[in-house]
Amino acid sequence: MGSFIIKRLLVAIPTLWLLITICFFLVRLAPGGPFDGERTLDPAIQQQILATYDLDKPLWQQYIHYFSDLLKGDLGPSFKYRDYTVNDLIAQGFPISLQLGLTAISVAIVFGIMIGTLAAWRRNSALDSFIMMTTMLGIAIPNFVKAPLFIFLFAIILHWLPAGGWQEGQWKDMVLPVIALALPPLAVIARLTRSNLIEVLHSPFIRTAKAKGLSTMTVLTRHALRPALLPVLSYLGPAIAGIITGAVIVEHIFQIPGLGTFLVTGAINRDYTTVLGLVILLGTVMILCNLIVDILYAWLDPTIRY
Amino acid sequence: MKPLTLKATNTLYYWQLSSLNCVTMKISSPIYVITLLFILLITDATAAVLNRANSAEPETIDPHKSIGVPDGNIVRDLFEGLVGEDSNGNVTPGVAKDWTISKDGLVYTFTLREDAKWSNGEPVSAKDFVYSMRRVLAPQTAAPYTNFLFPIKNAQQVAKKELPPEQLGVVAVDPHTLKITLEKPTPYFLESLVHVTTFPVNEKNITDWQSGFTQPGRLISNGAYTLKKWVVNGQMTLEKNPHYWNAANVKIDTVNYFPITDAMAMVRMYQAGQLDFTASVPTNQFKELQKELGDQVKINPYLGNYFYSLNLDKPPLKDNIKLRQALSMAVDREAITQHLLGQQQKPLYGLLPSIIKGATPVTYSWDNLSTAERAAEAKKLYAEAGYSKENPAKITIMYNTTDEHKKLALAISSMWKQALGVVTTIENQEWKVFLGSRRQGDFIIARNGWIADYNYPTTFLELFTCDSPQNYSKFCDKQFDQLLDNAADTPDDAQRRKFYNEAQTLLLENYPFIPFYELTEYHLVKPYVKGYTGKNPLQHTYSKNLWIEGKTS
Repeated sequence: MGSFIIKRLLVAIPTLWLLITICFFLVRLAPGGPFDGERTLDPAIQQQILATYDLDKPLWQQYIHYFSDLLKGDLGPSFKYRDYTVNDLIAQGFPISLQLGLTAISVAIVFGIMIGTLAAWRRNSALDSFIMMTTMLGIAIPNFVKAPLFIFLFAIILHWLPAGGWQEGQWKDMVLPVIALALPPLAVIARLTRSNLIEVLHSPFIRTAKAKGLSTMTVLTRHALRPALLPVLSYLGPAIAGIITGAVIVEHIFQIPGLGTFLVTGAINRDYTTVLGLVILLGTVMILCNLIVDILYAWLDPTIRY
Repeated sequence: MKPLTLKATNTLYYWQLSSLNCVTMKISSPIYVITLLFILLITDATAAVLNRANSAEPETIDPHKSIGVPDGNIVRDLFEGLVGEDSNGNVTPGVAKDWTISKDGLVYTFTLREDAKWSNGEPVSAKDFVYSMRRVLAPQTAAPYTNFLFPIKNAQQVAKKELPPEQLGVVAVDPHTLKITLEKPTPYFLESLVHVTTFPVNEKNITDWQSGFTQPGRLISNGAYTLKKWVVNGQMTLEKNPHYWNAANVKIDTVNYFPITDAMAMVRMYQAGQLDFTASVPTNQFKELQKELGDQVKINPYLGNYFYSLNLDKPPLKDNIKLRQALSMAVDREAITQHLLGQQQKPLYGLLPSIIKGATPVTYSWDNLSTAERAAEAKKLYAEAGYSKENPAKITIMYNTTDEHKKLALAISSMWKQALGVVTTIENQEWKVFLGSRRQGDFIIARNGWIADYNYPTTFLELFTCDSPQNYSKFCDKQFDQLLDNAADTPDDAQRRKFYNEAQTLLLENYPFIPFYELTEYHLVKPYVKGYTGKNPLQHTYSKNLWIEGKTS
């Protein structure tokens, strides 16, 4: 297992390097620069600003410069938020995205598995149909419809919760975005759990367990659930990474200062360093999540050994 | 920049207008009362807080580097220049309590207040202004708007490093006397001092922290407020500066700025009671909001215009003044302002908005004709230019991707189609792509608009000088440039107005652009927020001029 983890981490290095290199040139390929605005600056001033950020140098020099800074852990200054470095921005935004994302995914996992199990246990009942229908809605209705609906109901009509904003992550600010963010993965997890559980419940070893006289609860939780959760687990790897780094729409609607907004404004404003910094972070999170999932796989499924 | 304008939320709004609203209010009223009591218990009733939306996250709050409107709102709360503005946009004393201008209009002597202080308690002295203005011009500062200081003697040479900074015409005679010498009697010089580029920064603050001086806990400012907290894309909190010379008259203790790019989200937070003052109102809900909120929707003239730049370097508009005139005449501006926009914009038949100071706006000679007469005349010109039904003019309107620009481009192209038979293609480009195309002259007709930097005609007229970087039309007329130079050289006001008149007439006769309307600015303002007049043509709203009165919860 130890050597497997080391091997996977070593493979991650060239993957990340490739990702950074491609992204470095790709963002610069997009037309327009970070300092183009409605007001065209005097060419001499524009030149000065570019020089301040080394953007007047040949690309290969910029690339080497960027990498040597990166190895020192410096992601460079942001071109859009000029009072901040990319390190500052990530230090500010990442904990928020992490808090929001992890809460949402925890809610999704707990409730998703519970609901899915319930539906599988009572399959083809009215309850099952209801659960399957509502989870379908959870997947099908996009967040830019759901989220404003929640705001309208809970913030504007009932005045129970704020319509947006983020005061150091107070629970009140978190409720609506967490629900909005958790619903789609929750629905997917519920459906995955249900279909796999039904399949597992038909296996011979379950029949054996039942024949031994074990209670339904024990059969479900001790024997059936573990193998049924394997597909859920492989779904979780990218889902967690996505929910932490890519809650763009939810963060936008609820005015949450996480990473999502930086990614969007970074791309629109040609904020090269911010986009690159986020890509590196996103790539690392993605690689780590997948690694953790692989390790958990081995733990859940005795037939898998590394 | 509205990448994520959420169309789907439009429908929501109509629900809200329905009776659903009252029903749910009744159900929730006990909870409402409890929440209210709770809020009353936990809030300090004496501290006045203003929750203000900003249209985006500021790029920087370094006064010398700031560019956009969101930056300016915050910088004007944090810092104060030599002069300030009252609620109607008139120049008022700022750090300078008074000033004298020499007869030739070249030497300004400012007397600074003795009680003007930085937020660390130290006095603001004339030396601070000398340092600040040299900093703006220093190439390593890379200030975007150095040109605001170019009227000052030797400023251009200092910026180009042809002269040492000591040669700049800004001198601290004594700690409370600042003498600024100009190159030419620049009539708008005093007005231009309301721009943040001319504001002072604290020298020690910058030597201590370099570009990191703008962080909470570090920033030393001299305005009505100090920086307390800053979460990028989240919230910025400003607190009343106890050392501000006029602190006794600053009534709001805390200002929270929320950067919100999505106008719909702004309205939702306003309705949920989290915002007292929005930065905008979504245009697609404007009428409904007006009906529901009444005079909480504030509309006021904004010193700016919306126009199309015509490319004079490219066919078919090149050397084709008749076609250009026909296109301008065939636009029904009243229909646009009344039916398409509906935010009290005024039709514009010239370059300068009607609220400009320092010149009389000149309009097209044909602006008194009726719509039908104009259309007939336009048709005649179009035919004279050699076009007909069989051989129509083919043009392209280019704009950056937003619903508002698209709506207008569609309306205008259909007006041209109907009146003249012009075949118009409308083409949208992503923001930065658009900026590049427009700058490089890669267009036939491009969306344009200008918001005044200060209330004086040059802010608009200088867009069309030969060497202006904003001159996308590539209009270049030496006589026009000469008229502006003449106006700048003369200290006589009447004479200057005459030059500006002639310059405007010359410009309009050449049709390098098509004006459409004068801008307006609109906000949602809670009834308990007092002191907002909206009468400043630059729409600078200083938090220090507002107060809270009669807020119940």
